[in-house]
Amino acid sequence: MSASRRPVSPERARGRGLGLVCAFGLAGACATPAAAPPQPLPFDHALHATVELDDGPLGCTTCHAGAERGVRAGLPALSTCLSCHMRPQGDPPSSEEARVRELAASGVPLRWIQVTRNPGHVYFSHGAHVARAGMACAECHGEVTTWTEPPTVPLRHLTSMDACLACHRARGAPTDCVTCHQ
Amino acid sequence: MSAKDPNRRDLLRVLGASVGAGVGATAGLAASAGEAAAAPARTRRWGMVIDLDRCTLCSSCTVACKQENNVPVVGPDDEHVGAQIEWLSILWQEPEQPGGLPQGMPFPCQHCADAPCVKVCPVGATYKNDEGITMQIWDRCIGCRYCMVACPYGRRSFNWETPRWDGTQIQMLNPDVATRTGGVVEKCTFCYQRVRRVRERAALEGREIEDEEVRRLPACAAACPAEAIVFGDLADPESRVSELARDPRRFQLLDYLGTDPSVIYLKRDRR
Repeated sequence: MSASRRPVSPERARGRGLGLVCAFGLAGACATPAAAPPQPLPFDHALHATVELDDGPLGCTTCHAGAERGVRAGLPALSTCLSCHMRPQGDPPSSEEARVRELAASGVPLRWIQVTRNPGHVYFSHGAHVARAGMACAECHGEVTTWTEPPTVPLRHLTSMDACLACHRARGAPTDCVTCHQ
Repeated sequence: MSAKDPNRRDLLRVLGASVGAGVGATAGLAASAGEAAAAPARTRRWGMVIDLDRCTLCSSCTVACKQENNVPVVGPDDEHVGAQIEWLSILWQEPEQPGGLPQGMPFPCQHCADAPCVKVCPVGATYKNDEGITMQIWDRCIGCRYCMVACPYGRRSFNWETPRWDGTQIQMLNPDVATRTGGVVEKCTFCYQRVRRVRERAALEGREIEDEEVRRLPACAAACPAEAIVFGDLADPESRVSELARDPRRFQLLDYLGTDPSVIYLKRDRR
C-alpha cells in the first residue's frame, strides 16, 4: 500500500513499537476530559427506564436491539423513537420530543456519536454475554438507568482487558487469546 | 516418530488422571474431575484437506484470503525483494515434462500439531489454541522473526512497514480482522473470525457446530470453484474432512519433520 518502503531492522521495528507504547501511555495519562460530543438528542435514560409499555417495562433491548443476540448492541434509529413519539407522550410535551419530530420531518437520519468503542483488535459479542452467559446489562454497564443525559466520556471499564479477564477467570469462561482478540 | 508426541502426552495425562482417581478411590471423583477438565464438549482439531486433483490452480483462494484478512499488497518492488505478505499463495512447481502444464498447490499455514514456530516465540505471541489452530496475536509480536526462521514451510510474513490503506481501501477492510502494523509477523489463522462466528451462532441456537456449515468456512475454501479445499474437524471421524483425509492419495508436506500438519493434501493423479 505504501509508495516506498525500506526494510527495517528488527531492532528498529521493536524501537518503533516501544515508542508507540510510550506515546499511547502518555496520551492516556495526560488525557483531559473531552467536551461532550454533540449528540443529536439529549436522551434521558433515567426517564425512559421508568416507562411502562402495554407488554411490560421499556427494556434496554427495545432500543439497543442487538444487545441480546447480536454482536453489537446498536444505537436506535429515529424510527425506533417514533414508534412511541409519533403521538405526544407526557404532559406537557417536552422540547426533546418536538426535536424528534423535527428531525423526522427533515428526513435527516439520527446520528448518535458512540463515545465508547472497542479497539479494532478486540472482538466483543453482546449475544455471547447476554443470551449465552445470561448476564444482565448492568453487570458491565452499571447504573445506566440513572443517567439523565448521554455519556460524554468513554467508559474505560468497558474496554479494560483486566476487567474482562477477571470476570472470565471467575466464571470459568474461555481465556484463549483469540476468544476476544482478532 | 515425534509426530505422535501430542498423542503420547494425552495418553500420559489420561493415565495420570486415572491414577489420581485410584487415590481418590471414588468413581464420582473421577467423573467430576473429568467434567471439570473437559469444559468444552470435546476437543476439536480444525484442519483442511486440499484435493490437488480438483485444484485447477485458478488462484481464487489467494485473492479471497487477501480480501478476507486485510492482507496488504506490497507492490512489485517489494515483492521482488521478497517482502510480500503471504497467508496463502500457490506453491508453483516445475512441470513434469518441459512444456507441460504448470503444477502447484495452494499453500496456507500448515497449522502443525507440533509447531516449530510456537517453540521459538520468546513472547508467546504465537501459540496453539485448544482447537489446533496456530494463532498469532499481532499486538504481542515484537518482530524478532524467530518464527519465520523456524517455520519449515515459510508461511509467515513480516510487515516491514505499516501498510497504508488509502481512500476507499479503508472501507473495503474487513472489520472482523485487525490490520497489522509494521514490525509484526502475520500468518494464516484458518479464518478464525469465521469459526468464532459459527461457534457463536451454534451456541445461541443451543446446538453443536455442524460439519456442513464449516466445510467451506475459510475464505479460501468458500472461494474455491472446484471445492478442492475442505475444512472441518479432523478429530471427528465422521466429518467430511476426516473422511477425505483417509484417502490413500493423502500426504503432508515435509512429513518427515514430524510437525504433523493439519493441512492434508490429496495427490494429483490426473495428468
